[in-house]
Amino acid sequence: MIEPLDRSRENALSAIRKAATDQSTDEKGIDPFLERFIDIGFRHQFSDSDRSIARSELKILLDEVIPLFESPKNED
Amino acid sequence: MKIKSITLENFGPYYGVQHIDLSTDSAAPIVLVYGENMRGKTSILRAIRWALYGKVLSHEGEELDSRGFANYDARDESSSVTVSVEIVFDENSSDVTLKRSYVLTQNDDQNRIVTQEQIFLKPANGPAMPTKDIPEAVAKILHSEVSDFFLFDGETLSDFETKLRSKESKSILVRGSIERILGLQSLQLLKKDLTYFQSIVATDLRRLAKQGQKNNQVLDKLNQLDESIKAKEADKANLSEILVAVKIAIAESEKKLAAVEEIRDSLIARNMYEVQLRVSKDKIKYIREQISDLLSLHWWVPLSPWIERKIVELDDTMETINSNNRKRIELEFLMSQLNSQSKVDICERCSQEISQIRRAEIDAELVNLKKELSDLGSEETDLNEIQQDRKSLKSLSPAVNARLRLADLDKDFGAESLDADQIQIKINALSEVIQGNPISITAEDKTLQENRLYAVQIERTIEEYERQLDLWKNEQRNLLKTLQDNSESNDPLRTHGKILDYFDSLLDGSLDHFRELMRQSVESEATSIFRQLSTEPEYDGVKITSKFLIELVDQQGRIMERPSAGAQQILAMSFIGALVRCAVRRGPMIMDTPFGRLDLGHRKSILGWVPTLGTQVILLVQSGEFDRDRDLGYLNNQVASEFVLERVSATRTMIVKRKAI
Repeated sequence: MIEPLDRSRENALSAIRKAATDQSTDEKGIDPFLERFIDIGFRHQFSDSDRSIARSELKILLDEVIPLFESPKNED
Repeated sequence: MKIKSITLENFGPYYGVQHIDLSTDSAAPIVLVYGENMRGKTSILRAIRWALYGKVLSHEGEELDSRGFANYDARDESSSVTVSVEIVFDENSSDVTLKRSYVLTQNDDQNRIVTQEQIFLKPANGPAMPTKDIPEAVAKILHSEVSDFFLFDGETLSDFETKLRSKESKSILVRGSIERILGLQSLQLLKKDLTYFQSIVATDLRRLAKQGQKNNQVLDKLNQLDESIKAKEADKANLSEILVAVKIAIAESEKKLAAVEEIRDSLIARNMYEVQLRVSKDKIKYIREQISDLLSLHWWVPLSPWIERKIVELDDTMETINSNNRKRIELEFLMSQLNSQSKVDICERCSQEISQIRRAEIDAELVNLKKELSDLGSEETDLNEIQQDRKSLKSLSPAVNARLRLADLDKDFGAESLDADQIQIKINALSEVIQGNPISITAEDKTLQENRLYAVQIERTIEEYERQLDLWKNEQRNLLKTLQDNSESNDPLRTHGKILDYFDSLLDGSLDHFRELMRQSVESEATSIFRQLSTEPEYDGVKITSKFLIELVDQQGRIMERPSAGAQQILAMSFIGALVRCAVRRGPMIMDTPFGRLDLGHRKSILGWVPTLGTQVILLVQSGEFDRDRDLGYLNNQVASEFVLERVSATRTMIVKRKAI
């Protein structure tokens, strides 16, 4: 049985994956980042006061994603 | 997460320290708490909310004053009373204790103030958490945003039901509830965070662009846009402030007009009482006339008791006079005989000489008789007068019927006068209410209508501003993109910008899709619950339209335009159940008086379904909605324990555990 939290998270992830596919972007290999991206959102989902933590986590995540964009993988 | 126990100290009607063990397991997830009205069921729900979030809202959305939670008896007994709620949670098979408390103290001005407010959260196998971290930890246990769906009362269900009946409020409620409980906010907040990062990149891009020459035109345009956006946002902020003030004024007018409704009711009531008073006074007048007529014919009737007494008195007097007269004659006769004896020497009867001793005896006897005669007083001469009086009094007829009639009239007069007095008291009280609220209904209504119109106009202007701001911000983004494109290809800022743009567009594209997935999830859960609960075969399931209108559909998928009242209730219940099942958090369900509005026909299926609602279901019920003998069986032996809220006094309730079942 999928726990509700997982199901909601899965739904969000699926929505973002779909958006990524629809955009037909050249950027590939960022799927694991999407998951982490959603995790950050869900972990801090209600806590306005805690946005600074979410932002630092996002900043780290973005720093990790940058090299992927700098040397995009080939579509093979 | 489950609640293992709650300990209340001087909270609401719970005097002293009282404990409820709420342990449940998967085979028996239900705890039943029985309590009639005013016994403290809602206080238990409030205690949990207060312990978790430090505040409790009324049904009207107003925060309740926490001083009011202190038990009245405890408060009256001491100038300083501790109020606390302790909850032990089972979080991933480990105990976590949460305790919130304060001391209510009477200060020098005799006011009661809250002191020593404390909150304490401690996992069984770790140190107590710093106070500042507790709200976040509580949010992880059960966030206040979603708590409405887990800690809910009959009013919530009723509120849902009412809103689901109205097309206007339905869409907002359904969409808002789904987004709140399923976590759309998480994506919206991520979007906000990305905007924040984009603003940092934009600042850096502009700073760098200033160093070169080729971007001057773009920068000028951006600066112009900055100015315009700043000014427009300031205008928007001002208008928003005005809108808040106008909405407050609208709420006040509505409140006043609601009070006027009360005054109107008072006026109607007063008019009614005034009519009653007039009728009552007319009756009193009529009774008086009747009494007057009766007395003109039988003026003595009111004096009848006195007349009767007087006749008896006169009879007694006459009897005494006659008796005295008889005695007097007797005495005078005796005295004349003794006098005759004393004048002769020889006794006439026995012809013997009267001795000296006998003579002395006769003299002594004469003295006694004389004294006796003197004690009787002088002879009454007014006997005739008394007889005349008696005759006059006797001539007044007993007038039995007139007396009875007068007694009846007198009784009616008393009762009617009392009624009139009571009506007058009511009229006076209503007059005070009416005079205390001098308000012009027409003027207030006019103000209300004007303010409503004003609010609509402001809202439209704000919308217009927002559209303009969106256009400018879009233009700003495009210009920034130009700056980005103009920058060196290996510039890290360029990469940053591209990543942020990418995630931003991903989020834009996914929000609607995510909402659609949520809609489908809730629709499917609600349908499954509805089919389980409904006893009406014509309904096949629940549909949540793209506009977030929730509807009942038949087997052909057609929307049922006029569902029955029972079906509406089940729809509301199914919707809440679906939200809870789909929620991003799992928690205990605590339901206060949840079945009061549900019809008996559905009771069995609902009670059979309740255990599946959560990992733990605590039902606070009253006899009107849950008949233990009849309904306990429907819960399929899934009840872990039962408690009864027993009334000790108006201000005290005792929690008593029912014997094991």
